[in-house]
Amino acid sequence: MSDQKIIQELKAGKRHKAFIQLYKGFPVVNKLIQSKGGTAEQAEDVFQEALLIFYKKATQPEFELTSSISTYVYSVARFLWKDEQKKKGLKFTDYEVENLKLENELEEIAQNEKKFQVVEEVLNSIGEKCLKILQLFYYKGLSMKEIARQVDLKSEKVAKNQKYKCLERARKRVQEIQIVNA
Amino acid sequence: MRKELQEIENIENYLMGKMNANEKAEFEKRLETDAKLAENLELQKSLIAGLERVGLKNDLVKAKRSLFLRKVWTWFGAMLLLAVMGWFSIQYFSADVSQTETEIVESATDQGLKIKEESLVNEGLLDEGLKIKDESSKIKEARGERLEVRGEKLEVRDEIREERVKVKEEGWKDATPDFVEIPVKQAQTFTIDPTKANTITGAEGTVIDFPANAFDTQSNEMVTIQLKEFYKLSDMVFANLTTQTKDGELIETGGMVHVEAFQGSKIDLAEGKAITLNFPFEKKKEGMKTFAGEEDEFGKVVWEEEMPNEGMELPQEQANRSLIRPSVNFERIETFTMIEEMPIFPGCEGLVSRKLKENCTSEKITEYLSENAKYPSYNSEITGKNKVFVTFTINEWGLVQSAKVTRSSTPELNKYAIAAVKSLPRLNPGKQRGVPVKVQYTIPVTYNMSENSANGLNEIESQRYMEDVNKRFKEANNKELEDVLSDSTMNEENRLNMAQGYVLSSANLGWINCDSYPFAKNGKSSFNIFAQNEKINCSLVLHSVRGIVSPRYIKQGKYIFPQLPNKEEVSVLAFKTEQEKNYVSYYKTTHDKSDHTFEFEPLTKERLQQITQELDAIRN
Repeated sequence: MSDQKIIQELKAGKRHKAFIQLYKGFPVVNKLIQSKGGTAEQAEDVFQEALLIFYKKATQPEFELTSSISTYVYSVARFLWKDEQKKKGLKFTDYEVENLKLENELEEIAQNEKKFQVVEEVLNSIGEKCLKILQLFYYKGLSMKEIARQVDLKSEKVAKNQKYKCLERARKRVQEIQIVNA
Repeated sequence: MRKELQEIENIENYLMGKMNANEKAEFEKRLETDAKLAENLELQKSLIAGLERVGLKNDLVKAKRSLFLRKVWTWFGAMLLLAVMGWFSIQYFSADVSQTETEIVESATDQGLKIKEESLVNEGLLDEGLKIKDESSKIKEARGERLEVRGEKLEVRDEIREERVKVKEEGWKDATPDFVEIPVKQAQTFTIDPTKANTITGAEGTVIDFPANAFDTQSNEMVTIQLKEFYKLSDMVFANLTTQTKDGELIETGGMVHVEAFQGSKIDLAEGKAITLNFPFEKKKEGMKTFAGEEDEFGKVVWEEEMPNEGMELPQEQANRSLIRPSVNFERIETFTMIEEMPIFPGCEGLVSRKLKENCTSEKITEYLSENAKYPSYNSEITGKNKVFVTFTINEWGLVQSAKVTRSSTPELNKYAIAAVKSLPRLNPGKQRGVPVKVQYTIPVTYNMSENSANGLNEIESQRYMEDVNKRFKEANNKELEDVLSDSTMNEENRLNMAQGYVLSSANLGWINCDSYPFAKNGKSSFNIFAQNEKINCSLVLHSVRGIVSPRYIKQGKYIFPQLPNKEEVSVLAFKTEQEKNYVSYYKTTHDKSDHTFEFEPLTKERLQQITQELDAIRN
């Protein structure tokens, strides 16, 4: 699949095949991270985050690909790991040419993603059923009727109620964390 | 309540563009003045972004799994360490294994002798041969220089032959040795109807089940399965297989299998389909796991854990924690098993990464134990810090099984420590390939018996301890495991044990305690072999664990096998091919940190037989 095709598919919401292609870029990122003091698991996490960021950028209407996707993803991964190392007070040196423009872009996105990571964790703690309902509604965009069917609830109304309960649960927890962190 | 619900609905409608122009304008106006509304709007946006992350991650993981399954279904192997290993490879032959040549003709002899000459030169023997004819033929002695003059060449050749036979005995008995090929495993062929479920059984006992419609193909024509089984050590070594993970860790093997499917040309498994492998074992060991194989930079196959299966239903937990004043200090839990998913304490399931879940579970277990630990009433004889090491298993149902004390400074406290451990609530069991398995833990329980309180612990201390636990748990959510480790109460020894524990447990299943494992008891160092800039295919066989190791890297003309246990018996096996003839270097030695060299000789039928016999005789 060509780079252009991959982006096309992503924009069209056909993620699975495109993601498979993107995952082929893992080995080179893996090598980078592990050679800079990371473990295999950290490499996986960083790569996943890099793909997430790439996805978010690529699906924006004004996105223009200036290099190959694999180069882009690699740069994102490198940036993320560099950031990680910085937090730990460790230096990161390699001989890559610094792409300041990309780094500035990424800085902002990475910051946002970090905020959302906290929310992500909360969502993972509200319970499987709750998470599923919210996922089906907000991520998959299904109707309440369909959701009621998939989650095995009696009616559309019951599902709606349940969704609000789950949403409240998530909201409360996020607010708690925000208070703690404030 | 209703009002809030309404508000959230408004926000949703706004974000999803369900408002008409008027409603939208009104909403935005409210936003300017109503801070609470604005806050809620942001919150909702964050939640949606968070949900997107969760969804994307799921999709990414699914894609990763697909890619993995697709490219690696071909090879399967049984590795003892933690489970059945899957080994996949696209081409497993080293490129320079040439076709069989059966004729030994003049030209071949010429060639053979030419190589001998060069080798002899290297070994400093050719000079001798040349010197004999020196005066009369004026042949130069320069190393490696070709002998141009034909007539003299013949004479020198004869001299060399005699000389060689006189001077060197090893493997050079014959002037024209019978070169053979490095053995190539023959495939067994099976033909199956892809529309039905099939089971095939290999000659060495492997049974493979294929579900109906397992293959990624439109056609219903018969499918040919090619199967190669590798249960003997010699077979594995000759096929460039190793018993190492990608990270260089050692694992124990029970056998490996190569499977390929053809329908005219090669076909793959269909997405979402999996085959089941059953391996024959002499003595069955628990904790089997599937690994996938890939070629490393030396063309050797190394292993990596396979992806877990989804959709495994977990037994529901019931956590019943009774709050009792803590009386026990704790140190970090040590575990000596490495499986895909470690047991999860109730309440930790929702965390994002495996590390966080494990951290959370660790913390919660120790927290729970501290709260629920019973302690003896004040006994003037037991004072200060007392440590009891309890080893216990969380079984497939998440329940505590076989708790026992492995080390204790104060035997009187043993039963209390065990009782505390036995009182743990049901956990989500550890999983391997989606299947619940037993996992073993060792926890050091410290009883701080001070004189100041009748219950063996200061009230103040216990309070501080609880805060400490909460604080560290919160921190764990925001830091890497490494960070937590570095500022934990764990001392250096424990931390090293923990790191080593992972490596050791991956080398030998069933070993419970790091300390009792004799592997690498004399330390480790790298095993180096000089290669003299030749292209050599080499492996090391470790006798004690029946392991095959690939070199990790080449440096300054040396093949380096890092981190091998000292004083272990190893066999060096290396092949090289020169002018289409195969040479082998095979010898046994004890790893003693000194450098080694290859000693090549022709690969003859006898030598090959001998090597095969010796390799297969290695038992651990």
